[in-house]
Amino acid sequence: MLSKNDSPRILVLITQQKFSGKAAQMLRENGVSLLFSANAEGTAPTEMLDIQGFGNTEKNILLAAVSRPAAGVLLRKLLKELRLGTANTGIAFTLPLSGVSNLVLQLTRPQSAGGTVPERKEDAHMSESEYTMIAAIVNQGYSGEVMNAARAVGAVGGSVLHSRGIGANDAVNSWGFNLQDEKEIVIIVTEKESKLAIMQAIGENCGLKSEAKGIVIAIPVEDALGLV
Amino acid sequence: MNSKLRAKVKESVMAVLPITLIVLFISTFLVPLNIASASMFFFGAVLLIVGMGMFQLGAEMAMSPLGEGIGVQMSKSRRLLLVMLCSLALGIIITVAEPDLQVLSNQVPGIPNPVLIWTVAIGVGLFLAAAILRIIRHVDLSILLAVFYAAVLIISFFVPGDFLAVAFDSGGVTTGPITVPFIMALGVGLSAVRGDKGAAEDSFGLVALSSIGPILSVLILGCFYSPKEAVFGEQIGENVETVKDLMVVFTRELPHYAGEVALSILPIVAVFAIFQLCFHRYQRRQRLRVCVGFAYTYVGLILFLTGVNVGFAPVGSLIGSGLADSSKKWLLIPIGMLIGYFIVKAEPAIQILDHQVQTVTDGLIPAKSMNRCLSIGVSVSVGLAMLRIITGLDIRWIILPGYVLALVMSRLVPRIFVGIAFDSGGVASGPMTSTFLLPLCIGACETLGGNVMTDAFGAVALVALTPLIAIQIMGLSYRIKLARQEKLAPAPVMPADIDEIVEIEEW
Repeated sequence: MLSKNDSPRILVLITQQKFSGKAAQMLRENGVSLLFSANAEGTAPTEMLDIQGFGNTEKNILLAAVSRPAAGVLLRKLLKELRLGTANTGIAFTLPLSGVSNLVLQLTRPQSAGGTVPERKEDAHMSESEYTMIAAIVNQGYSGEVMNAARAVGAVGGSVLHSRGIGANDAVNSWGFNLQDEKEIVIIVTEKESKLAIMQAIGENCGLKSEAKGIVIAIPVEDALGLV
Repeated sequence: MNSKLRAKVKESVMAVLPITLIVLFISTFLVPLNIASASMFFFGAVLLIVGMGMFQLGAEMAMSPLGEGIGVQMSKSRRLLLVMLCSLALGIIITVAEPDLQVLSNQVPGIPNPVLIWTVAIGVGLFLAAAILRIIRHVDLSILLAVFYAAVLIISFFVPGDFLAVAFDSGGVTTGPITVPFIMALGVGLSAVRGDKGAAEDSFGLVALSSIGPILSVLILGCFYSPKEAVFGEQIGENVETVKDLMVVFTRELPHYAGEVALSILPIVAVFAIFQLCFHRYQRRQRLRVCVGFAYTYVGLILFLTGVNVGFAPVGSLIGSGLADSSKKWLLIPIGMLIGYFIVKAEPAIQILDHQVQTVTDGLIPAKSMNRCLSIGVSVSVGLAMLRIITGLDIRWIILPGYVLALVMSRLVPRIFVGIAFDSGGVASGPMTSTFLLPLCIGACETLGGNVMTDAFGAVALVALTPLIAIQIMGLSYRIKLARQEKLAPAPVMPADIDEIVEIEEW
């Protein structure tokens, strides 16, 4: 059993596509070898902008497995190089893990990422455990409703991932395709204080009783930056 | 400024500016244009930039969600016959209304317009249905392409030469700015709910098959009708002296295109209404968004078509004849290649294709590489078109080996590149090609005293051909690179415990 402090972290960076390439390059140069990316969509700041077509923006989500000390260093580097925290850049945060393949452990040994960084220093831009990540999984087309509900109780913004839901029984149609329903995953990183209110608001407006058939979860965030 | 708006403005400026600068260069140093034509050209370019931006945004907001939605419902359906009938109907509806087809029907000699339009539309419908049947029945795209193109090439021997070029042109032309975004999105929707490995590959290939339909149907018509003298829009020099004259010329043409574009968008709006009534896919906000999107598409296309037809077409013709007239007629080839390189970027549907390729392949094929590849491809094709005009080379000598090469390559490159390559052929030849490039060729051809029917036409067919090869070369080099990497770096020896699970203290 590995202690919490020694375990690897998942570094998540949600940003515009042009920054994402730069960030991936930087992470690679710092020895990060487990790096994944996915397309996402930034949510529109207002409903009006969305209807006018100027709301949603293309985003990219980068996931990197890093050791704990490297996580702090890399977050600070990202802050400096991408100027996270200024308007329209993006956010980065780390998520704890509760189990990994041995491979991940091997590849995230402190010496293989970010060099030797024994001590983590507190940073003005970085605050420990003030944030949480809420994820709402809803039917296709309801991410707007989720954001409406979340904004009303204090959420600032979110990102949408398009995905497919896999039910208990795989539906295979007569043509031999595995059919999976389209789902949207809305990710909102927010202060811990507003977590409950946002989750409740999403549950009430887009819960299983609604057409959105939403499920809401929250995952603890260790460090976060880029949130205004 | 809103960041999205800024990105769109930048995108459309970058698309139209290069070709504008080239024309400025040519008109300064090689073919002196009178100030009237030049001012019309530059005003047209402004309309193009605005129209292009609005069109892109509108297509993204309206056409894509609609196409995707219909694709998803088709994938979920269990009734094969219904799906086939729907795709046949969709293919016919979107093609009958395509503004490019109206232009083509006026250019094709000897066939009554309604006969041609309906034959082409039914051709697109049948091939769209075939493309969807292919996905459902898991048939390899390259096999179908080989069969259909073999049929096309065989029939082409029984068709008079005058007809041949026009038939191939029709394939490129009918997949225009309305059809392409819709069919592309349909492909994405069809594979959106599938969890299997081939889903991403199957998002492409619909446009590819749909553009064979018109070629085949026009060729078959060519066996029954005898060609007469070509009728193409005469480019009359406008008498523009004041700014007021300029505005008058453009505003006079505007209503004409407003009507034409309305005709082509209304059927799709109707499809949206029927689809929404049957399946209730779109929420309130999405419905509003789609409606606004249709409005953007409408206004954007009107501005684009007016700009390109009024501002660009006459200049294309003038430059063509001007270059051919000078003692340096061989300059036509390099200048044509230069124009070809930059003209693709200004095709409205190209960015939609690039973007979709980047999204579906998750960045494996970046939009930039697509763009460069298409630019090189079209550049070569315009060079070849100019060579044909100067030498009068039979189009068969280029088309036959070209398609044979493309088909052979389709067996060698990774599958996803086949769909993308053959789709891009139809996408690359849009309104910009038929209103700027074609007049350029016609202008050059008339001045050199060649046969316009056989020499100038066929330019579009070449523009639709070379991207197939260019993109498959990219696919081939990608495959070679992968193989080399594997050779250089053999799979590392994994320690035995690599898959063991390490538990971490709970949080």
